[in-house]
Order: sequence, then structure tokens, then C-alpha cells
Amino acid sequence: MNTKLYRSLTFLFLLIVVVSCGDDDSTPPQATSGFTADKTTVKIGDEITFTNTSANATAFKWSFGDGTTSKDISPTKSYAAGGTYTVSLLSTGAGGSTISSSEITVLPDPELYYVDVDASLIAKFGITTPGDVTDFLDVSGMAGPGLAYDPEHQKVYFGDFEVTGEGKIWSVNLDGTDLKVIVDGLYDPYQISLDVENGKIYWAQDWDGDELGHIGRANLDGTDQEYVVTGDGWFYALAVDTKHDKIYYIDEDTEELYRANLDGSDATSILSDVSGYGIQVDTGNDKIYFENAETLYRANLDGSNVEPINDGGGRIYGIVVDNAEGRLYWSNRDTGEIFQANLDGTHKSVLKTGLGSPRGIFLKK
Amino acid sequence: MIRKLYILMTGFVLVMIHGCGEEDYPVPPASTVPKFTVAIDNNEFAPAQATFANVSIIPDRAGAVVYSWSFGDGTSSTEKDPVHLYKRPGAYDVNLVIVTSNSNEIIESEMRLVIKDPNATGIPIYFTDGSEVLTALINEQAPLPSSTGIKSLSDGYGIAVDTAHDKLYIAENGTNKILVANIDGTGLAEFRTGIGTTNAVAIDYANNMLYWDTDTGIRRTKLDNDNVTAYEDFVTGQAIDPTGMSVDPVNKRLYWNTYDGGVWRKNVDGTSQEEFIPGAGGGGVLVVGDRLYYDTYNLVSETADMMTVDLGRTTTPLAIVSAMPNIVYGIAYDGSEDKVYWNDRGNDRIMRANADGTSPEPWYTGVTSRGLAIGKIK
Repeated sequence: MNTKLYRSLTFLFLLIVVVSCGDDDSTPPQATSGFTADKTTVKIGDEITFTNTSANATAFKWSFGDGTTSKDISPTKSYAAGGTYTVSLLSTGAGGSTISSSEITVLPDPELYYVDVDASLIAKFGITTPGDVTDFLDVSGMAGPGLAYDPEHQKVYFGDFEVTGEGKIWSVNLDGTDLKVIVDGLYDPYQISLDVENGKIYWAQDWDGDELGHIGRANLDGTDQEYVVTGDGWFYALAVDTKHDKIYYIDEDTEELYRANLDGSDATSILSDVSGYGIQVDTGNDKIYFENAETLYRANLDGSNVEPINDGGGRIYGIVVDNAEGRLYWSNRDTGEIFQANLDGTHKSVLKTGLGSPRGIFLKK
Repeated sequence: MIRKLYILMTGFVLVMIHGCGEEDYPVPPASTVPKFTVAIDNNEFAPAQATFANVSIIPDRAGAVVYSWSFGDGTSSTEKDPVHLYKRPGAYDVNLVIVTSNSNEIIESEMRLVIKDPNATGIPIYFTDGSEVLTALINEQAPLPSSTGIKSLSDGYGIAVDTAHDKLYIAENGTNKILVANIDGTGLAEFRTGIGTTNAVAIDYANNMLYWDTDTGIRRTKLDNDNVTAYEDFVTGQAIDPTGMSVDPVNKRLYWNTYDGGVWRKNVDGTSQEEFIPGAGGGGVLVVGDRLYYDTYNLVSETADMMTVDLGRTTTPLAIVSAMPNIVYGIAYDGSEDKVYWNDRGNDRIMRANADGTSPEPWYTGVTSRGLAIGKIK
């Protein structure tokens, strides 16, 4: 009996020795951590799908670099703000833990700038966060409907029709510095359009004291000011087609929409019975957008194939065409709203309401 | 043979100790611990700037670390000690994530911040989660509880609002104390000490008196008496632990519930003590007009029912809500909307119903609340 107990205990003892040190005998393979992302440069809100390529790991934890985490094997993720984010994956297995990291670039939220003539303010908001409005510039005493942006030099241009006959065009850097008058002594300036490649700024101008309206232009610093179009009527709407080197403008006296060379030569009416405050050219799709009697239209560059884009209801001074995203933005002075839609006007939604008198707009990407 | 066995066992123990020695650390490795504190300006009203202090513990073995913060409003930062402006009121879950380079860790720490709405109006409601007194407004908006600043309570249970003097009384179960503070959370002080194991307080405005319970009775004291040890026994010798109390100001009676006993009452002049609803006790009781609200605890099912009955007991008691997982320590009444509120502690929520007991609904979910009191409109 004792011998049997002895044998049993010896066996138990050996078993425990073998089992208790079993982990030492075969080292488990070290976990490796790795992952891929289906896209590494995204816009705000885009969903990124990560694919886990780790080996010898059974537990995972992700840090997305924006203070959020996940324990999924292969998570999806979207970001709410622009920036560069370091994504880290901690992969843990029997052989330990390893971290791998990779960067995701989230493009900044495009900002829509608008001038509100009632509030004497140029302000901006991110198009995914239209509730967060930031003042850009107090334009008290220098307000007007024209607003344009030169992304190459990060300069904002705006018109000033506060004092009739003393209209001005101002420029200011995007950081708010170097505010200055570049063109002075205009009759009321309206829409402004830039031709950065050729270093020119164009503007439409109301009747002056001689009862003549103009399309004027100058160098971007205001030098070499000249009128390229002069008419019996007044001019509000103007756009430069920088791809084909043309200007489009509406003569409110004749209610014709004209296309002309940059120097005003070869002016041709492409549409009749048109009266409006804004034109914009979509150089990517060779289209023009324009207001006619409080409705936004789209047409081919020769004036053919006119299609209504919205259902009217107010004067439209500001139009932005975002080719890359296929999005269209416009302001409505009379309803105090800013809209967005697809380029054909579908999926229209209100971005902003409750503004006093929104006029010119531009999109800063 | 016994000796052989002894030697064998000794050897066995030695092998157990030494056999795996190379795996043992002499000292456990220091851990990385994510931690932060926050200071919020503008009295925590929007817009408020939050200044975060990263006080994480980073041992040497962690190596280089990367911080990332989520501020809970869609924005983030990778600064060590960020400053963030909250533009709008709301509850924000702030998360700090630490990624370490050498020790291979991704760990995080979360904290909820409440940025208050400076324009909000409503009826203030107060409640305790045992360690803190929280407040929210009853209005058309979703409840947004925030701290009164009264924290570090030692098992705080019942609370009472003295709306005549804008004071808050808190029964401290863990330290046998009653604390008093201004209604805005400032001026926290000891009101009474060494007064027995209490979990509820009630005010008798007509006599300027505060009542509290002990394990076997009820005591009371004048609200304007500054002596921290002054009290008198009002009820003694209760066989079952008295809990919540409420004063019926019309009939000048104190009602109290007992843990798993019944609902009792006694005139405030000290006469006519009786068990009003036998064998139906729980944690809370409240008199509103001619109605009584109380909970009953069922020892078999270990659940509580929220009940109401008229003080004349002409009707059968009505169960407003049945089978809550815990007894109710706080019941309060909002006269502006004629609604009764109570703590459904086991479900981590505050409930409410019409005063007639109809339409019970959760009012706020997310707090393991004990005491409950409602103040004046603001």
C-alpha cells in the first residue's frame, strides 16, 4: 500500500514538474503586428476600412490617433476633423505584444466664406460643420456684394459699394493681414472674378454718373485699371472663364448674357431675356451657372441647353462650383440662406439659414 | 516510509519553488497609467474653456509615448496638456489614449464633462450617487446632470432641499453625519455629527425642524440650531430599520418607511404613533397633498414596487411600477408638472410618473442614485 502511494506521489511529482515548466520548453512565436488601410488620404466623414495583417496574435487594440480606440480585428473608422492621424495597432499573442503604426491624412474641411452686407461681415464655416461660424473680417464701412479668393496667393478680394461713386475693391490676406484698397473711385462694384494665371481681377459695375455701366479689370495689385466693356446698362453679374480665356456678363439694360474675349472684344450674346446678379463658370464640365430672375440656371458655354437648377425665390449673388467634388453652392440674398447641391441641382440642402443678406461666396479648400 | 514520504514532499516543494524561477520577476514591472484632470472656466457654462492636465504615470520602461485626446465633440488633439473650448452646452466624454513605444501598450482613460447651458431654465432636481451630489433641470430638454461641487461623500444617501433657506441637507450613512451646504453647492459644512446611522432627512417647515432616521428610530433638531450634537429622539425602539421620511404639513404628521417592515406615522407633537401600512416597507416615502408615495420591498423576489395610496386609505394601493431591482431611497415631487420622481437605483435611472400614478417613464438613465430632492424654479 505504501509502495503504491510512493509510486503515485512520484508520478504526480514528475507530472507537476513537467507541466509546471511546460511553458519554458517551447517558446510561442512572437506576435507580429501589421495592417493596411483601403485609403490613406480621405475627406472628413469618409469611412476607412483597416485590414489586419498581424500574425500569431489573438487580441487587438487600435488607437486611431484622435483619442478613439477599437478592439475589432479589422475596424472601420471615419474622422471628424482634418489633420494627420497616427493609427497604431497593438497585436497580442502568446508570444507577447507588438505595435505597428501608419498615418492617415484627413483633408481639411473646405471652408465657405460669405459676405453678409447687412451684418457688414465676411464670415466662414466648414461645410461639414456649418453651425460653427467664424468671423473673418468686419467690413463695416467697406461692405459690398463682390467676394473672390486667390488660392495661389491666399488673398481675398471684396467689393465696397458703401458710398456711391466711391466704390472700392479691397484685398486682404487669408490670415487677415495687409488689408488695403487696390482699386478706388468706382461706381458701385458688384460681382468680382479672378484670373490668377494672367494676374487680373475683373469686376462688374453699376451705372456711373454718365449713365454708363462697365466691366472693369486691373492687375491683382490694382495697377493698370481699365474698362473692357462699357454699356448703356448696368452690370452686376460677371465671370471669367480661365480655361477658354473668356468673360461672361449680363447687360441689365439689354437683358442679354454676353460672352467676350478677356479684353472685351468679340462680345456675343449667348442668351436673351436674362437678368441676374451672379454667374460662375464650371471649367471642368464646360458649363455656366447664372441667376435669371431669382432662379439659378445651368447652360452650355454657348448658351444652349438651359436647365433650371433650383426653384427660385431670391436673388443669387454668390455661386461656387466645386468641380473636384461635383458640388454646387449658392447664396440667396432674400431668404438669407446658403445652399448646396450636386452640379445638376439634385440633393439640394440648406447649409446655412438666418443670414441677413448673403452675397458673394467662395470655397477655400 | 513516512520519512521517505517527507523527503519526497520536501523535494517536490523545492522543485515547485525553483523549477520555474527564471520566469519570476523580482519586482512587478511598473505600469503605464493614463490619468488626467481638468479645470473648466466660466463656472462650467458654455462657452467654456477646458484646461487639461495630463498626469499619466509613464514608467521608464514604457519608452516614448504618444498621447491622443478625443474631446467628445468631434475634435481631438495630440498635445500632452491640451486646452479646448467647448462652444455649446452638453455632456462630453473626453478620452485620453496613450500609445507606448517600448512597453507596447495602448491604454486609455475616459471622463465625462458637462458644460452647462447658461440660458437653461427649469426646476432644479438634486440627487446623490453615494459620493457626489448632482443637479439637473427639469424642463423640455433632455436632462443634463452636472456636479454641485459637493463630492467625496462617505456613502451619502438621503438629501433634502430647504427651499425656505436655499440649503441642501445630506445624510451621510458612512460617517453618521448630516452635512449642510448652500443650494449652489458652496459652503459645505457639518450640520450634525454622531447622530446614528442615517440614510434619510426630511424637513418640517412649519416647525423649522429637520428629521433623520437611525437604525432603530427617528431623531429631529431645529434647523436654526448651530450645535452640531443637538437633537432629540422622536421615535425610538423600532424593530425594523426606519428609512425615508416625509412630513404631511396639513395633518402635522411624520410618515416613515421601514426597510422591509411597514409604513408608519406619528403626529409631530409626539402623539399617535402607528403602523399605517403594515408589512409593506421599503426605502422611501413622500406625502403630497392627500396622497402617499412609498415603495415596498419583497424579500422573496428581492424586488421593490413603487406604490401610491390616498392618505385616507379609501382606495387600494396602486403599483406605479413593479419589480424594481432595488429599494427606493429617494422620492420627490415637481408641482409645476404635478409629477412624482423616484430613484430606480438598480436600473441606474431616475423615473417619473404623473401624480395619480399613470404614465411612468424613465426621466434620466445613467446614475445609480439614492437621495432625490426637488428645489424651486429658476
